[in-house]
Amino acid sequence: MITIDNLHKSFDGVEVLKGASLEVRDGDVVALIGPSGEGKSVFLKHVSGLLKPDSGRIFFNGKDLCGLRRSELVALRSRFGFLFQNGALFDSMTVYDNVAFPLREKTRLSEKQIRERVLAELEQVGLAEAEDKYPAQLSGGMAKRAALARALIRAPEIMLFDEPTTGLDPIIVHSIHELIDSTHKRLGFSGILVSHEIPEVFAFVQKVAFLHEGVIRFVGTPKEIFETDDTVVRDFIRGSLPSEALRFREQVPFQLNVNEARGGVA
Amino acid sequence: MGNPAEKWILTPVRSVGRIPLDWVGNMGRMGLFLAQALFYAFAPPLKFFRVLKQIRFIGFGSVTVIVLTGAFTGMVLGFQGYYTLSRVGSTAFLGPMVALSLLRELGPVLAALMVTGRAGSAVTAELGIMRNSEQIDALEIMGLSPFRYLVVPTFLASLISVPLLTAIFNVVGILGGYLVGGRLLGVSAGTYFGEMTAYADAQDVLAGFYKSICFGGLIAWVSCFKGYTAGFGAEGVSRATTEAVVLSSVLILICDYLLTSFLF
Repeated sequence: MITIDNLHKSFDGVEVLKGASLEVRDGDVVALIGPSGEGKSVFLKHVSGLLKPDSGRIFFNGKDLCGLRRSELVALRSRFGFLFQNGALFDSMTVYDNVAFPLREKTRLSEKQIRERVLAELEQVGLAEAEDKYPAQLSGGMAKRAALARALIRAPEIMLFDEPTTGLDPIIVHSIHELIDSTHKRLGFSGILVSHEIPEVFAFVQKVAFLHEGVIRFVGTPKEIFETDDTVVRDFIRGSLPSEALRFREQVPFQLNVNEARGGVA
Repeated sequence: MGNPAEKWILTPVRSVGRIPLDWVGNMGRMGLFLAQALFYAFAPPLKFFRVLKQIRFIGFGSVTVIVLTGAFTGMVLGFQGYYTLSRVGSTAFLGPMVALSLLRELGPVLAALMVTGRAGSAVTAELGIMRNSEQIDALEIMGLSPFRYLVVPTFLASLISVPLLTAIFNVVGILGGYLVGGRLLGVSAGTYFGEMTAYADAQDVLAGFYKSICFGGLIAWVSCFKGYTAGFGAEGVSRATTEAVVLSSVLILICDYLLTSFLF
């Protein structure tokens, strides 16, 4: 169980998180959604311990992350997997070496055992043919899948996904989602998935959390989010302009076509 | 600060005060960075192959530029030294003059400045890009220390490479001085090298050696710190690289003056 309690964080006097709280039960994947620039990635980096909160606490099975000594934090992190927005593959290493890296550094497996596991993981993500390629030679989707293979190679208990499908075409987005879903079923990790792919992500997550103005405004199942009375949440998941802005625009002399305002996307 | 008069007075004062505060803050961060690097340097395991890789990059990769600059520095010293000494009829002392200039001052300083320009800037850019593309965060998430993997190998490689490069610079410089002084201007090899061994002793070699070790540490410290703390995007990395080269070069010259005046 991951419990994030009343997280506050400011950067250069600008408060990004203003008391965000969330609970993730064992085996659940929570989709963290919300407008861009609201601090979803910042929230995720706090959960992973990459950022320290100004105030608030993060608990893993009752252990306070902020109170851990460095050695304890290192031990805890070995149970983590993190899929970064741009993959964060080591660009001086091949795909194979990238995926093998955590095993080489954190386990005592022989090179033969490492090879077996890496090839199996690359097979799972559909990159068996790309083991000798460097990150610069990969397409966006391949880089994401390679990064996913690296994140999953040590069978983490907790997976954090930071916009794993940003900038990819719909077919690749679908395949990445299927991959996350299948690995979740295979490994049973708990996780938080930051995403803008609405409503696609609702198909495989157990909960949805909506981060708005520095706080988690809504938490519920995918079904519950469609039924919520909260207009801000509703407008967001339907891709509408915020209700307040919409009301304002309805009062101006000329009629604003909402679809036009969004670039013609229905 | 609602009062306009107060704003007019306090804003410039605050701006002036912010400069030393930022400066002191940066010094503190650099100090903590060095302390962490030293901690991981002595806390096993050492990433031996990464150290070798960095020695290859910083040391072996800089040999060409060191040989070139060393040769031309020695040749210029040969010319200048010969014409200066010929005015007082002491061209026999060309060997000691070239050797002492190179061993004690020019060798360590110029070799360090060359390494700063070639390798220090590259180290900063590499770390800055790794920081921007979250590769450093990825290491931390895996429970691995970026200091152990990235900073310590660069420190050790720089500490090993810079004195060796300085030695190469000195040897090539002395030969360059002989090429001009001996071959072109007529000082005999016996005089050039004989007088050199009479006046330049082990203490001079050691003085330059200690300096080059200090400079090696300085280059690694500044380059790694600037890369590790680089700002966002291409602009952040380019600014970090420029700052690393400028700060390293200035610190090398200041450190050279201090070492010369207090230690030797």
